[in-house]
Amino acid sequence: MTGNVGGIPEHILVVEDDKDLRDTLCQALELEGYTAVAAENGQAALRHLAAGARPCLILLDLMMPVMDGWTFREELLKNPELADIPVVVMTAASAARAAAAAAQAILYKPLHMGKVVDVVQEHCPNGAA
Amino acid sequence: MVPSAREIPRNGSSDGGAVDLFALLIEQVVDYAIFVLDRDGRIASWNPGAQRIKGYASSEIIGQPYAIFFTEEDRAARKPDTILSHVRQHGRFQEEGWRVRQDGTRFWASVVVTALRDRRGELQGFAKITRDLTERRQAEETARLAAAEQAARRQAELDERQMRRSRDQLDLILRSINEGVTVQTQDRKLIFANDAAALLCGFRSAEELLAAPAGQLFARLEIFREDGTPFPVDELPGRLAMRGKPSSAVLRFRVKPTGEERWSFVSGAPVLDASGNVDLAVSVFREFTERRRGEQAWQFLAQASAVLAGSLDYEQTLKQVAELAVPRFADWSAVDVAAADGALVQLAVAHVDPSKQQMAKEWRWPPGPDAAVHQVIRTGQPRLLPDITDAMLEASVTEPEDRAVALRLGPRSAMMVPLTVGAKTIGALSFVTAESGRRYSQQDLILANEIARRASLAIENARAYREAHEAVRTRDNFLAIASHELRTPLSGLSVLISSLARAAASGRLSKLTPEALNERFVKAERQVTQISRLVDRLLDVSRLSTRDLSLERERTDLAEIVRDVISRYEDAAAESGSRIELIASGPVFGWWDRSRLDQVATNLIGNAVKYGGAAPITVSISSGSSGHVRLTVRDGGPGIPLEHQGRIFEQYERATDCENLPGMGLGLWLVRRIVTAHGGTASVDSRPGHGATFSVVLPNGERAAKAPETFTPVAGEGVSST
Repeated sequence: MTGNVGGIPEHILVVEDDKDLRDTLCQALELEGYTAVAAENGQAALRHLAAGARPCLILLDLMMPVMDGWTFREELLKNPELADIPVVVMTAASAARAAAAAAQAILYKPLHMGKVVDVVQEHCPNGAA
Repeated sequence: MVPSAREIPRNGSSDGGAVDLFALLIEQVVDYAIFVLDRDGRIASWNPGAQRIKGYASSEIIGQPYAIFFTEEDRAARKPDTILSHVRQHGRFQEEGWRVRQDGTRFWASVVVTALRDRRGELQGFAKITRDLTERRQAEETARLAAAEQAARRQAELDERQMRRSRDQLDLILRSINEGVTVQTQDRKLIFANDAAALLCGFRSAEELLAAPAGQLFARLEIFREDGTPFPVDELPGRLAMRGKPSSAVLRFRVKPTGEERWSFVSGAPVLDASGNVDLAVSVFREFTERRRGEQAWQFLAQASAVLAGSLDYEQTLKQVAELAVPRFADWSAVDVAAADGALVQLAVAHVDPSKQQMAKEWRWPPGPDAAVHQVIRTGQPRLLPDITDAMLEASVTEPEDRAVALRLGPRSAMMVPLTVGAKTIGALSFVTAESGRRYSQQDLILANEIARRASLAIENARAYREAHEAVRTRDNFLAIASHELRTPLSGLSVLISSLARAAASGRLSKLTPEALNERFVKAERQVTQISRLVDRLLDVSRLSTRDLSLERERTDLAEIVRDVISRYEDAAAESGSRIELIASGPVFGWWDRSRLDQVATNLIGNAVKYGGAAPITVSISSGSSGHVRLTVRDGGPGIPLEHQGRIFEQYERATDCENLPGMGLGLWLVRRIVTAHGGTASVDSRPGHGATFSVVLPNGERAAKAPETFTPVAGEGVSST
């Protein structure tokens, strides 16, 4: 389901409002050989997708201003073109609240790169350079 | 041979003149029957007196046995023979007794019979002298009867006097006993009632009750059984007594015009006449209203205690206590507590008459600041107003409308008892009687005080529980938020380190330029700093949750602080496509805690950057005329929903209602704490979709700085510094 629609190569979309974590995560993914695109909230992420980008995976924080992770996930599921993009939630929230985002997997904060890479490899087999 | 009286010559004989005279005597005596009987008791002579007394003529009686004069009973008893035998033996017999005339009528006779003997002593016959004593006897009888009658009359008079005295005494006794007594005739006419009975029926005196028209009694009384169901008039003990049946019942009387209630044990008994028919019905009423009230008061105490012990929601509990008091202990009851500003807040009011509940609400007496309940709260001493009269109400209430309300509520007796928590009187319970006509006594006051004591304990317990619960909840919230908030910067650090570790392990580390590697370490350090700052902030908040905020005031320029904060956020704002504009004419000085005001500005501006989106942020500082300074921060973000605006300054508000937003929900809480400690106010104005404007108004703090000894540190504006 991943592809290069809109001219953007296979990539991982990182949606996280904390700038430091967002940047760190993108850099760490790139060091692993993936392409990562950052969005600071759900709305920014939707804009990215609206532009035609189709990431192989979305790493999604839940508690964010402007548009939170749950709302973003709902918007994604409403749109048949976007509904199939795998979403992995990164959260410090409870399992129940995280489950409400109906994600493929949940990564609990604090994150560890080894676990992030395990999940990414599952969804983006061609990503690693 | 004894000559007959007839044979005695009238004008003398051979015996000379004396004999003649004797014969004449015999012949002419008419008052005595004087005659002679022969030896056998036959009549041998007869004189006119005998004829007059006994009715026989001489010719008819001479030769007849003298037994003819006796009554049948005497003859049957052989009395004539017995008398003669007695005379033969003793020479004489005398008696008074009944004898019979020729016509059969009886007469009362005095009889003397004498033996007549010759010289040799031989019995020749008997002389009998009979006198008719009937008249005398009748006179005697009449006199005796008269005397007896007089005696009887005297006795009757005596008896009547005695009876009247007894009746008066009985009347007095019946009037003075505590039991009510009524006596009714068979046709239901009330012929006796004492005051006790009258009071029970809602009359002021026995006279008033006795004068009342027949139908009026039951028109003004409602009668109930113990269980509260109506008692049929026809089955009242008095009515059953009229039908000959003695009975008794426990009854509750309610006087309709006043609502006054009385409990009574009533017994009825019929009084029968000589022929066994019901003559009167007597009813006895033993009132036990006071005892009943005592029982009910203790029931109230028991129930109230259970309620007070069973709940930790003391406002609800006090309401329940007020409701439980009515009607058993009071006709109306209220709970007032003193608010922080000293004003009274009525938590609850309950009235036995639902139509008066609204009227009783907030009604305090006497009107104004001297209301008994105010006094009780001021002094901590209970008040007992045993007797409140209409005159007292009228005298104390000047407004005609208020007066009408007071008279309609008609309080008769009242008690107010303090609710004391620790050493402080926080409120009062009021118990008032009106409809029931009940008067409170010292005894009742003791009970009311006991209720208040238990209620106070319950309040203390509830407060302690609430505080403990609050403390636990605060701690739990704090821990949850702290751990949640720490996870994001920790994630950054963790990802950074684990990523470098993975790169090192796989030989990919060489891909990174020294500059890139250095950048990562700088970032790691920054994250450690950020985490450590966060920990400090959490500790600060934790301390402020349990302690007062103490300020270190110094002469501070708010504009300078704000400029400094803005400079720290400029990059972040630019990143979201926003910018921060400051409107300030120059330095704005005040006596404030510099680092705390930095926290205020940091939180407000940081929030604006975080939530404001790409729209520009305007920060303005202005000085007011009254020594106040205003700081506003306006963003162009999505705004705050109306329902959240009221609570946005609460602690952990983010964590509860706006759970999907990041942040601890502590920033604005801290802003308000700091601003309030400075004696200022913090507020928000926002229309969803049109951004939000946060405003902080601070007094310049000069008074606080100049007169620190007389100024309470936590005091706000409006507290005088005298």
